[in-house]
Amino acid sequence: MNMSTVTAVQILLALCFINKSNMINLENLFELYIHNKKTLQTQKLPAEMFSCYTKYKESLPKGYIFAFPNSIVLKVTEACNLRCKHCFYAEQPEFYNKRSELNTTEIKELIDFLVDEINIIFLTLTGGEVFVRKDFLEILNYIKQKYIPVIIQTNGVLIDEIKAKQLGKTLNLKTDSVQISLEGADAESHNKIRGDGTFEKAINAIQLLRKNNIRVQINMTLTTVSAPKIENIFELCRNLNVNWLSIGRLEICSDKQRYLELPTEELMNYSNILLTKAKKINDIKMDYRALTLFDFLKLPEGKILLDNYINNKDIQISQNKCLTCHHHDKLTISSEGNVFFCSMDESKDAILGNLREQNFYDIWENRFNTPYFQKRDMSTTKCRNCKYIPLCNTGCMASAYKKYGDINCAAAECTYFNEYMRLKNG
Amino acid sequence: MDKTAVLKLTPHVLKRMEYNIERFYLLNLNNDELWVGNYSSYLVINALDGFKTIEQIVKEIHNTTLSGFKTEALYKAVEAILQELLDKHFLVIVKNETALS
Repeated sequence: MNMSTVTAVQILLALCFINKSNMINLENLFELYIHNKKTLQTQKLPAEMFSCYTKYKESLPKGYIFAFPNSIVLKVTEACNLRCKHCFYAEQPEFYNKRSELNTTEIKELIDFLVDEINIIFLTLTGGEVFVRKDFLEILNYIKQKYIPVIIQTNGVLIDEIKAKQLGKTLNLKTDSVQISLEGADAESHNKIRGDGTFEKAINAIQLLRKNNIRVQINMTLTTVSAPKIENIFELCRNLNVNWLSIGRLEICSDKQRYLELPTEELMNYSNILLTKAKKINDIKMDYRALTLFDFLKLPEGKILLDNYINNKDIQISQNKCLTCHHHDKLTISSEGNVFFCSMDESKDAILGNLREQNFYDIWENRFNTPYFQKRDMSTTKCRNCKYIPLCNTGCMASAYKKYGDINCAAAECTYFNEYMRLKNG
Repeated sequence: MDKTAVLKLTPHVLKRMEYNIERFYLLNLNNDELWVGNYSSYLVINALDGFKTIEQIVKEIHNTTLSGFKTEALYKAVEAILQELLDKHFLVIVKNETALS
């Protein structure tokens, strides 16, 4: 190979690399994104697969504000056996230390209250790492005596054969599920984030759970570490007999985590690969959350696509399905008994009250006295007249508050908000 | 309906009261059925605890919440609710004998 040939090849390769982002057909990606979201509308959480849940939800008036939440996220501990690089506690290691957690009796009393008094019908158990609690299976057993459907979120490292068997006996195989976090489709990626040997342990946990017929969902975050080999995730799921997969977006909590964040072009590339593959696969249901409608707004071509979508079709997809801030249907309770509006922000000013110091009804009644629980709905948001509102439904209030200190601003990830405000104010 | 029957919610049936629209829901995770009632049915189901007969339930509701109603009228209403829920498998009979007092 002579010198001029080398240079020509190098230039060609460089051009391909430069144009890598342009190689994605954005229109195609947008279609794939919408297809994934539409497919997911018919593929819900295990408990929600029951039509009685759907009928209940559909019977409620539009915009209904719940008198009491029907779903609780309960953090049974903040303690964790791992120190993951992307964790939101990574910069606050004091959070990992066991503090004055609700003891077994307190948690059982709380469960009695939540189920018998305010009639919750769904419970998510999370941490920290739930299995760090020695009494976790006792707590779970108590919850399941009340038949409430549960999701357990875990890193899987502490699940052994005995625990998997016990879970198999305790959980309702139709309504309950265990979500295991993986940080890549291969050991190298996962261990880089979660620590040596953790991939093998997590995979072992999944195998043990599946052996006991427990429904497993793999949760993964798309990062610079997990992305390069992420397309192998489908094969991994299939080998593990797992048919639920959720790929989420990395929430940066400190500048030290920036290296994990994918630039928009790369995010689009990997999203294209994953969504294309997912469309061809019927046996694995993927909830893809790494890409959002806000990402399309960052690109001029993306903006045109969104404009066309709004103008030409009935809007069927919206970015924000949570809207707990509007409907008051969900609460998060920390291991110390602090009650939060949502798990998006557990800072001091987001605490509604503590269950050891106040009774639940007082905390609930006082919810409007916190910055978060002021009434926030479509009519109070600053961007209520934005043309993209049907797509984002005002976005996440906690995210808006964290960035702008105002619940009525747009969600932090909406890059169009500042431009909209400029246009609005002339 | 057997007056001595002691009833309780069927296992895997969840109850949910929506106070803002005064609707009471029972979600049956066994057969995937949903039952919708009103505030009265919520009172009846809450009074039911696997240890009471229909007469005791009526008495309790009469003494605690609906004292303005005649016991006979309450009995008929409660019986209708319980019978429907029994027929639709939202309730089960614990035992058919004189209930614990």
